[in-house]
Formats: sequence, C-alpha cells, structure tokens
Amino acid sequence: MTKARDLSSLGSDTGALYTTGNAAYYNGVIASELAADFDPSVTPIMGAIIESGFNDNGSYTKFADGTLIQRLVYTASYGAGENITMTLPTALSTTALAWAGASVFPVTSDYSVTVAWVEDINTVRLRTQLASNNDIDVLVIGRWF
Amino acid sequence: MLTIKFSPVRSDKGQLTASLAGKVLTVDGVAYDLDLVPDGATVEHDVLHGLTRTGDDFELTLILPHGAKAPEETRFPQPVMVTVDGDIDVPIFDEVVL
Repeated sequence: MTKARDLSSLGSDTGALYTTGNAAYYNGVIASELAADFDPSVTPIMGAIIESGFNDNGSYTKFADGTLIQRLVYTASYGAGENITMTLPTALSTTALAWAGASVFPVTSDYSVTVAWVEDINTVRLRTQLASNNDIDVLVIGRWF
Repeated sequence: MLTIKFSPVRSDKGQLTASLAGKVLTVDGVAYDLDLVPDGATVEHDVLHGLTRTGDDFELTLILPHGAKAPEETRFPQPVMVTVDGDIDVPIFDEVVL
C-alpha cells in the first residue's frame, strides 16, 4: 500500500489523486483503507500541512496532497479599470486549474474587483472597477507539485 | 547609483547572486548592460522588473528566492543602493545552520 509519506509518486502522475463521490482516493487506495493501515508514528496524516510561511508578497500553505493556498493583500491606492500585477509569495507548479479571487476591504458595493486571474505560475493579476484606496484581499488556490 | 528592490518568493532555486561592473549588472551569472536603457525609460523585463533609468541612476526589482526557514531580513528585504562595483550584498537564501 502506498503511504502518504511517498509524495514523490504524485509528482509525475497527476491522475493519482482524485475523488469520486464521497470516497477519497490516494494513489488508488480508498481513504478508509489507508486509515485502517495508518501508522501515525511513520506516516503523516493525508492532507497535513507540509509547509506554511509568509514574506513581503503574502502568505502560503502547502498541503500534503499538493494543494497550495496563498493569500495576498494589495495595499496601495488604485484607479478605475486598473490592471494590477502581484507576485505570488511562492510559485505554483502549474497554472492548470489554478484559481484566483479577490475582494475589496472594507466591503462596499462601489469598490469591487471585476476579475482576478492567475497570469502565470509566479503572478496573479487583478482588474479594479473604481478608484479606491481600500485594501484588496486576494486568494489563490493551486498546486505546489 | 543603482537601487535594487527585492520581491521575496519561497523557492528552491537557491541563493540569488548579483554584481555590478560599471553599468553592467550580472544576475545569477547572466550579464545585463543597463546602458542600453534610454534615459527616462521604464523597461519591463523577465529578470529586471520595472527597470527605470533617470540619468545615471537606475532602479529595478529582482525576484529574491528564499528557503522555508529564511530570516525576516530575507522575507521582508530592504532595498540596496549600489554605488561601487563588485558583488552586491543580497539577503541570504535560508537560515544559516552552524
């Protein structure tokens, strides 16, 4: 049985991790079976946080299944219809299925971000609606391997 | 004078290196002739981000790779002002294990 610690096998096999209905699979192993064979003394819990950190560009959390969540905050003022480019605190492994969302804080109906998208593995871009100096919170979800 | 800002990114690429010789800036072993930038221009470049020239003053941003245990000075780096030729003092990649 493949143990959760063996992350190397996932690196080149993107189809190895998936879910069907309520059953979670890991390298073809049903999660309940994995749990029955689970030895916490040698195997980290599937989905555990592998690494988290922060730098001047934002914060990130890497999960054992490859999920990468990043949070950024744009604090400068901006104009209407402005394109903003932000460097991610850590690079994604791929832009495939990567997602970006943004909201303005404090929330008002007049100051929104029309769209946010992952430009490449290092960059997220935003397009503002109206001029404002309210912070823009950005969330990016993707993969780190 | 050359002003370098750093944009920290958690990465396994290792230590960033940079040096200056006249108006030639070398980053990770690749030389860039800053003198090719016209006065007053701003250039977008894959490595030299937001490169601007005002007379003989240049300003740019470099991506700064850092490890998982990099010190705060690396994760929140201060700009450096380079006025002399030679190796440029770049924040360390990760914590130093003694």
